[in-house]
Amino acid sequence: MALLTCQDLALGYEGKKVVEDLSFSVDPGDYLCIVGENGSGKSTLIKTLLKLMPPVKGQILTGDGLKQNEIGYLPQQTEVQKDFPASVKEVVLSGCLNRSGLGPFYNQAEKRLAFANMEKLGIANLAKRCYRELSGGQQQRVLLARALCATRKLLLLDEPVAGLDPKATADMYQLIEKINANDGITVIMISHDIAAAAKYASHILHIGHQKPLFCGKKADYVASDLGKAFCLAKGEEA
Amino acid sequence: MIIEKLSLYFQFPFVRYALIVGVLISLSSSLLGVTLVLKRFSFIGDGLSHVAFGAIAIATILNLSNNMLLVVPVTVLCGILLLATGQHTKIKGDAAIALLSVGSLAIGYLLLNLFSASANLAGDVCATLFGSTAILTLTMTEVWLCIGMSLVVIAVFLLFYRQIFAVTFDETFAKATGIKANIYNLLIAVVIAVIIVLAMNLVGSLLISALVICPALSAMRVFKSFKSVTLCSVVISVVCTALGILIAILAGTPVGATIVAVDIATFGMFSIIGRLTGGRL
Amino acid sequence: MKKPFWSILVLLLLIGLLGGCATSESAAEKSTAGDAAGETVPGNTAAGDTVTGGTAAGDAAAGGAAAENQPAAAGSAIDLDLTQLSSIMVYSEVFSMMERPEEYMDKTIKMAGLYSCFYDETTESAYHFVIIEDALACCQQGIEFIWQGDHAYPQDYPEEGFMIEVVGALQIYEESDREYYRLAATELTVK
Repeated sequence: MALLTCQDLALGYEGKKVVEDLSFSVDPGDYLCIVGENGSGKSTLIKTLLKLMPPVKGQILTGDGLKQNEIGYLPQQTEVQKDFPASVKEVVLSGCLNRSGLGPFYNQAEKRLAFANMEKLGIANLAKRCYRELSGGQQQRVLLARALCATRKLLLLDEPVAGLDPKATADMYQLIEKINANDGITVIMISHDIAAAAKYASHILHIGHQKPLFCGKKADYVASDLGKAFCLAKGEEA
Repeated sequence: MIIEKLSLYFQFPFVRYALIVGVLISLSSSLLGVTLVLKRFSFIGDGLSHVAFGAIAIATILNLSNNMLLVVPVTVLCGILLLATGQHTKIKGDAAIALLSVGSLAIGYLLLNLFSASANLAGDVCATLFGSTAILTLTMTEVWLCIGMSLVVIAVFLLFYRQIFAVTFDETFAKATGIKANIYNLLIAVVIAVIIVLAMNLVGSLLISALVICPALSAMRVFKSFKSVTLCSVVISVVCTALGILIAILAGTPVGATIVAVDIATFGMFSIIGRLTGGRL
Repeated sequence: MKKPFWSILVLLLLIGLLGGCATSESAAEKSTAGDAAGETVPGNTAAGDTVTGGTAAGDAAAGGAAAENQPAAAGSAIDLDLTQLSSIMVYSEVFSMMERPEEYMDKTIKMAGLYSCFYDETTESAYHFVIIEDALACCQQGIEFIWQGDHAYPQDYPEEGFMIEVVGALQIYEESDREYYRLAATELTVK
């Protein structure tokens, strides 16, 4: 059974459509990469998948008993976070909140989970550091660790490598691949780096202006004219 | 000499009440300072305090025995309007606050001018705005109301500490992962409104922002985690308020302005400490 | 770590709710402010321009001694001396007097402030006040006083706006079916 199924979805703000005719499904263990130009509606799609905004038309079905508090999310960084006084540990722990009760303390199990995720992403040594003083790559790892604390099945990533240097970008992609392969967590990622998408993802959704241009397995995408054109164009740019 | 004077003053019950109530109010008002600063709501305190002023004006005209019964609900309602729906309305954040605050200030003063029976109108208005002696002239009902509301604010903050952190740090993430962020925003709005009404007693409505914001800003200069910043701003706020009240009664200066002056001085001190330590704490 | 936290929380909430619901009944149990300042007699009438006789001369003598914390000269023990307090304290204490006058009944109070007079045509009598200003000088409170003894108005009284000092006991009186509080002043000095 598919984890997530979108049927004839149309997205947009205040009734104005940004994308329409979206139909696709995500199976457990998939690594779906959503690519497209700026303004094509990638972020809108992810916000709709997260139920942060309602779809204009169509519906999103969740299968496999997927609940809202079993989803991890790596959002783009916000203004507020740039001068927020918070230690790495506090940020990562806040990912455990959706499985936690009331009161000012996290329990032992939650603390262990947070620590395990920090270890996994190689940031355990930063636990006491201040979040805003870390490098871009380190900050992304902190947010990824937080997302891992929040998720049990599904991880949504919004431009996880935006603003990172090439080394940090490669590291980030490898971490995400590991999480998908080793922990069996389904990944949906937004990116405009088509080359990387073609390298790591198992499925690709390419959104053009107002319409999905391609949706399916990576191998088919790379073989298609569209995929060829974009991979080539990107290659020339680089 | 000063000690003698103080021990003489401490024989007066209203001085003791002022210290107890002042400390509790400053404690509860500093708790949400960090959240307000970081959510870019620094001026919400100002806005709401003007609303509270308008409400006090109406309560005065209606001759209510206890102003708080009207002021608290009205301020809470406006707090909810500003904080919880501010993001979605056509008039955005700061403009909405400006509109509401200036509006209620003007209407409150106008109503007082037209209908008040008080002989010393300018005095009443001035006292409400600058809180020169409000904390020293509380009635017993007000003392208990202030103590009660402060303790409720502190309890709510402790209970929802982690949720408040999550919603402040990253509201989108909180919502996406199944935290009812809107409910917590609502809660924050209510608590802030209550704090504003409380703090009006301490520093008057024009100086509230300083009381709420200053300790948090000072603490953020030096400390780097949410927990340490929160703890530090509580300590700063309580110490500054106690010191401010003592200086005010010794020197005969207006209480509200004195407390804020001490707060500002502390901010300066912490800025220097922050520079010197380079934020290693 | 957790258990104490929860119990403290419950306690806080309980106290908070109780506190919020409590009424002013507890006001009655307050200790009185007056006792505190009981023994202090200041020396501040030295340069005083004594308007009339009365006991003012005696006070001036005591004032000459000028020592604090000494028992007052015979017959004029002062329970509450507002002239020893900072301006903001005076204002607050006067507020407290107006709020809970019953606690100040029959205490001898000494206070300084601006003299003000109000002549009521209907009752054809003059009412005299000591005006106290707060620290911002925007709020004022007036305490009515009646000068004991044989003093004619306006000849024996100072001009309005003069700084005066009065000593007397707080008393209650009734006029037109309403209760008022005033200081029965035994001394009046212009400073």
